[in-house]
Amino acid sequence: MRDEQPPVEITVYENGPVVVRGAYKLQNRDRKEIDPGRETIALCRCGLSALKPFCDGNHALRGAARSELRADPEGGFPFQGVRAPKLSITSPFATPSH
Amino acid sequence: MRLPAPRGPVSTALFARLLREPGPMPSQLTELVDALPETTVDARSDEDVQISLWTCYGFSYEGFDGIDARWEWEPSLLAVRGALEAVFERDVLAEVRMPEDLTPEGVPSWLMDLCGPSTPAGLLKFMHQNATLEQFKEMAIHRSIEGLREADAHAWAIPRVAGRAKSALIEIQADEYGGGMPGRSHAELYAILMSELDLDPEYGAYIDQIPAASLSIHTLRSMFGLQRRWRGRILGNLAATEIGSSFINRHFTEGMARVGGSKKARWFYDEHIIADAVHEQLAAHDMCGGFVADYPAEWDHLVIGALATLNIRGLFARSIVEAWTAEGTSLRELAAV
Repeated sequence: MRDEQPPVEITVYENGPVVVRGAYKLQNRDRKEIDPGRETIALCRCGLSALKPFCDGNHALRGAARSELRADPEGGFPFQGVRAPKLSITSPFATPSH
Repeated sequence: MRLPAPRGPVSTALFARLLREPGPMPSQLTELVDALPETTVDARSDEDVQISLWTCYGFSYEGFDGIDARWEWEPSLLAVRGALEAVFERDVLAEVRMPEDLTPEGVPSWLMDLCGPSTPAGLLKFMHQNATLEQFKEMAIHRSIEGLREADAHAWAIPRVAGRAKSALIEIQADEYGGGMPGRSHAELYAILMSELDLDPEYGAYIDQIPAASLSIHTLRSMFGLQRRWRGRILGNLAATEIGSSFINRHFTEGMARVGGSKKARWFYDEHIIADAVHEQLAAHDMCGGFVADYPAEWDHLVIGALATLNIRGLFARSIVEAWTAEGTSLRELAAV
């Protein structure tokens, strides 16, 4: 007998987001639906995303360990926890972060 | 799409031959092609090699106006393509080494580390903080060769792999193509970016102005994708493209906002921040992890593919920054008519 596929699959990626697949409904706390604009989504688990609830890859910037980066092929300067300038990141798919 | 202008002896002879019916190549051309290993200093930045190779692949993508479509599978052209690929591969691999102490199981996290965010420097820093709107337009032109056909070169891998790697590849590609919704594929968003910048969104419109180091990003991908023996390399290329992409695209969208780029123009970059945060996980863990498990004899191909991708990308970035630092254009000047 083939295993039944669960309707929603939530997969935790080590050192990364939670990935959700299947027939989920994504909504804010007022139960207003958020349309992610794609089938498979990655939800922020580290709190550093500028586009919450979606992951934007910022978990990789966690910690001063980034200063021990491998040599960059384009040359570099010491990374000292520089934050991105405060410009708004807009996307048609994300609700304002909170 | 029209045939591009030649850039050296090989492309001059080749493009003249393509105007006629498919068949054997003239001996003058086969002699030039046979001599490529000796006459080519660095195929990655060789204008003649890259425009010739780009044109060879063009038959499997867009095709060329008024040129016989049967050239796509003509053995004489495939032989020319093979010789161009051999010298390109030689020069790409010259700077690529398998890392010591890397095990197959370690590949996914190694890829995340290698291709993940790094100190913003060089081209990325320049786009973020210094590039003018005009330079954003030049960048859009350079990357139009891959952007307007985003995902197509990786699609070649679909019939060439099976199992978990295939499932993950499909999951990534489906999103790249907008889930099948017209108007939402990444390639279509790139066309919007170009239109918003008052650029022609037709594929290949600017081909003659795009230098070899920019063409190499696309030819490398096509070379890997079109050969089953290199299916590991094209998957490594995809992983290296997706991983860390959110970070890169955030810098591009912020930079473009700095010079007044509209929200519509920045949609391509903004979409990639979210999409590639998903794709990088799928690419590293599901696709590459699955490939390493199901194709253990080819695990090193993933590594070579990823390293080659970064090598070509670094070459591209350096050549652009060099041109802009010298306060000139990074595009090729069109020959006077």
